[in-house]
Amino acid sequence: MTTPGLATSTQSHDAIARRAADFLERRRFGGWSDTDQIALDAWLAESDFHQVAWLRLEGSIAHVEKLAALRPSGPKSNRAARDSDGKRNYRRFVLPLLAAASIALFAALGIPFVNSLLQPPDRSFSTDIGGRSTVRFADGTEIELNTDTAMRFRMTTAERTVWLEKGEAWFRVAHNAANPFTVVIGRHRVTDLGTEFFVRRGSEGMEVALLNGRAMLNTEGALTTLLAPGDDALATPVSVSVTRKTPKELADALAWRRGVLVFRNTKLSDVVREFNRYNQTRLVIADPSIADVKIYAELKTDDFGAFLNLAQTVLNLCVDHEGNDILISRGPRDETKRAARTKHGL
Amino acid sequence: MSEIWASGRSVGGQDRKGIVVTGDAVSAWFVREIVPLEAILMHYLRHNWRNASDIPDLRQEVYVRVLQAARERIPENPRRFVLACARNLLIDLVRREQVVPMVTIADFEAFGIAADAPQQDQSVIEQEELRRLEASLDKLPARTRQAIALAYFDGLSRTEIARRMGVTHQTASEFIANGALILADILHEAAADKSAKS
Repeated sequence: MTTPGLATSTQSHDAIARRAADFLERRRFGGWSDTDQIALDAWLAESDFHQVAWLRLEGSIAHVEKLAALRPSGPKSNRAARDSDGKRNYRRFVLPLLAAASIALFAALGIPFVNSLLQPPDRSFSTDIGGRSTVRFADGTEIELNTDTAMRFRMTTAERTVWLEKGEAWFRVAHNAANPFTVVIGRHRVTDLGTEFFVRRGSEGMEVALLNGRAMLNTEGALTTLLAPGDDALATPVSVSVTRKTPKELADALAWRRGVLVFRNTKLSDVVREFNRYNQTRLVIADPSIADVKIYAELKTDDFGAFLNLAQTVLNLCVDHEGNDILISRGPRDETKRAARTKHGL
Repeated sequence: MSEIWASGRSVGGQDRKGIVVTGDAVSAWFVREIVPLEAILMHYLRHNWRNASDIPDLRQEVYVRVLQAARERIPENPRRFVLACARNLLIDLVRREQVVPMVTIADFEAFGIAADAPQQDQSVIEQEELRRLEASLDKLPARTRQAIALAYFDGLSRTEIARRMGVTHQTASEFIANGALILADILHEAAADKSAKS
């Protein structure tokens, strides 16, 4: 503090602002715990200088995010938007959305500023590898995010949209004819008509499976498909294929909600791919001839031990650790090991 | 328009529990009515205070006075009230420290800031604001700009930002936090430039 006579602040504006920014960063970008919330509350209660620094920062950032949402789509948006196709879509749905009441409110302001509380910016939600998280909304809608999933959502009384940026999620949507619920993946969209479904963003496109209710799928190629319970649709940029699944198959596909993966007559290569979605340690099939080995198993998403045990004892495969990877190859493992030992002069 | 938001529960990994719509009416009022006036406030302070390095502290002091007053009673005209607080603060400082101000502290009407703003088209103004903000961003160092764009324009996660920038989580956090401070400043500065020109 350089100015003499500024009464009450004992810390410089800079240090306070920095602290506020740290809180804001952690709260918005993850790692926020109850302890953090308590620390923030205590810090805010300590001084009005803390409070105004926090409110200023929070209000300004909310406003920036609102402005960011107004950016036009396409080549004109020249920043990081270009490398995330899922993002481009959302700008198209941005409405210039001020109710008459809020316009009247802004009329009183010189620099019209969007009321971040009346018009909240989009929220983001994500999970890390191995993470799982449920979001419940006041309208009764529930979303559960599977491992390594990111979504942005706008849940207001006028619009309910979720952009699945990556990963997989299960939805149970409280139907509201006046305010439909839409999931957007790239250029595909699913609009619910009162529904329980799950969605996965894969390398090929969007996979949607419907458990209950009805939903409408609009794909990039402007194809519209009405989905019924049991339908599992895979939408690519050029096509939609729908297969019918039994309730049991769908329940298996959703076993991740219990932290479990279910494999029935599943190729080893698919099993490995599934496992790798949930874990930092990577399983690698070192021997292509075993990729098609079929497996029946129900395994916890993080239980390597059980999986490796299965591979070794039941399938008689060889398992080797190499850095962060676990290599799986064809046995007999003893000979391989012995050969390796001999090679290293042991 | 109200937001539908209830609660988040986490079973593992990271969660964004911090998404809270503040319930404190005065805080909400402050964010809604006062923060947007920053450009005008800064413009006023800069023209009435010699030492530019004092300005951010003066601004925060004004904010505290406004917040404290609002707890007693929400002022009817926020714009007028903010400027009145700023003027009183400057007068207090001059009196207390016997500082000779560079000019007589201007009354804000005399200063040419209308206490009531004319109505303008909201969407036009927002586009204009966005354009100015992007212009200000372009002047920032590339890495700072990249972090800001990824975090606040594209809403990516910290993990994703760290990955794209090729830095550790810790470094990404610093970029993101620092980016918030810079954004808050340039948002209002860009607006101040405009009001100074007009």
